[in-house]
Amino acid sequence: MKTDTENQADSQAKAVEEYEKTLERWFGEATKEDVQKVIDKLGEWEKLPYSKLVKLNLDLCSNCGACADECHIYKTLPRKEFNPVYRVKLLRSVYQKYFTWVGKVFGRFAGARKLDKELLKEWFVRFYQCNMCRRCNIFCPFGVDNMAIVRTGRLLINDVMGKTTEDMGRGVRYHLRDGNASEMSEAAFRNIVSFWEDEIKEVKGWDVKVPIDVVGAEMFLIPPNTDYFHSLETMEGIAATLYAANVSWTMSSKIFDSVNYGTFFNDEAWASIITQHIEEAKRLKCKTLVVGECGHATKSLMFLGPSLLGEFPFEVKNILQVTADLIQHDRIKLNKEANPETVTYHDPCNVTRMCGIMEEPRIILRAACMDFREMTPNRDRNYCCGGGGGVVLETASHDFRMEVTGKLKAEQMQRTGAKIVVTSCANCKVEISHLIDQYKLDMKWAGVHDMVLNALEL
Amino acid sequence: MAKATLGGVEIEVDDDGFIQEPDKWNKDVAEDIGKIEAVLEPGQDKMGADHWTVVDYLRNYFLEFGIAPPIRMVVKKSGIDLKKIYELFPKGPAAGACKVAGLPKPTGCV
Repeated sequence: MKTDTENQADSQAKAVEEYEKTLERWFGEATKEDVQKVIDKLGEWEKLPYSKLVKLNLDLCSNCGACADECHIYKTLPRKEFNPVYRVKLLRSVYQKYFTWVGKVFGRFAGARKLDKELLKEWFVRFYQCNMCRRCNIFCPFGVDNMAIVRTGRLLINDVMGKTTEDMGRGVRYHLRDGNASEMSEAAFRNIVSFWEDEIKEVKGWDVKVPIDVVGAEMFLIPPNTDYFHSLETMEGIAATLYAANVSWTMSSKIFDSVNYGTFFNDEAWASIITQHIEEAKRLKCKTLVVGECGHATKSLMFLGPSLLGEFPFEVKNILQVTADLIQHDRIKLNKEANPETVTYHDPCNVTRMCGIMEEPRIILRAACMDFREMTPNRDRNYCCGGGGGVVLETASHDFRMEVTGKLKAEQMQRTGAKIVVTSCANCKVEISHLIDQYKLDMKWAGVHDMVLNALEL
Repeated sequence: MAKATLGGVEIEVDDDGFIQEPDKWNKDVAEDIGKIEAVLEPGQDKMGADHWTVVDYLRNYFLEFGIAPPIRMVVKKSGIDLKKIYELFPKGPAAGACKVAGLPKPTGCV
């Protein structure tokens, strides 16, 4: 008879192995030419604007391993290849071999390694197993940014071979073709918007009309595709909030999906998609582009965009900042009694660690709920839900996410004793809903504005 | 991409069993996918009225709007609650019922 611990180890090993096989299949086989092109690209890439940052990161890592104990994946399954240091080495060893004199002269003795087909395949597998959550970054004595390294690895492979994970790649293709990642037409968009309006009417009795294509509105709102399919209450809560506060806002009938999966693996695709967002914001002449409850879109529009493309002629905010501001200026009225259950908050990596939006969700939840309880650790030290870095987008990653990357999060959520786990990122919502099912947790999941919708009064 | 014979027709399917040629869908194709994805009444070899209420709703929405409808819309408009949908299609509305209705696999955080 096997013990529970042994059974668990077996199922974890199986989940890892299966997803690794899938990743290897998606990668296929590299040719010699592919390998050479990746090396050339690494040389060219040295000229890119953020390469200094990555180079610095590669040089600074001293292999101390302080990050390992802070990585939710390594903590769950301490295998050497899940250690953030190991991933740094994958890229650094090759960089040293071709672009540093120490590596060129001393080769393996200086830790340098020749890039070949097998190593390139390993890059693909390891870089797509990472959630890009950047928790290791805050515990690193030198501040090495593992996310930047993982992203660079993914970019190089995608640039040369066009390879990425299946559903994420498809999402980007749809986005470049249709202006959204879910094949939504304008008719579908309008149909779902009117469904939001009907639902608000049903629960609040208010005749909220979502403004569409209003040129000159103060705020231009783009929610993630999730709010159209998976978490409608979030967008209903946002629409009701802006209605109650009498804010001048609009949505667009053309560009209504904030996601930008290029963020995770391809600079060019990322730039094309963010350009759609930027151009539409300019066309609508908004003062503020407001990103809905979406983590990576907040990172893309608030941080990556202005850093890589230059300042925008409008400001970018996350909806949490807007609503917290409305509460602090007494522009909306919330009745806590509408949310009597114990509520906890999961900090999405991209909203919190990346963009520093930490106190706003707490201002909102304390105002909208009777019993708000922190999970530990929280704020910028929070663990990733296990779905970050685009991993949650893949159906094939389900068991890997449940058994390995999300396990720590499930335990953490359970320890709070809360009845509702609230979060503000589409990616996290999907992962958390899967974890609740998988671990049979006695709790529900919700978006921040789902709670606001319940509590809102005129 | 693999081929499968469904309803007597050869159709391309993806890794998760979603059909890739929506035009080839018909009720016989649905019944064949239903043999894997749907829970049938004891003694029955075909899907029941409730299965078809969900499948027809999804199919018609797809034909009109080109996408799968939000789950809550399915529940409200078809009159069949989510618990019941999971009983009919254990993988749920997206991975189960949509597959039977011949819709493409949903993409994104959905």
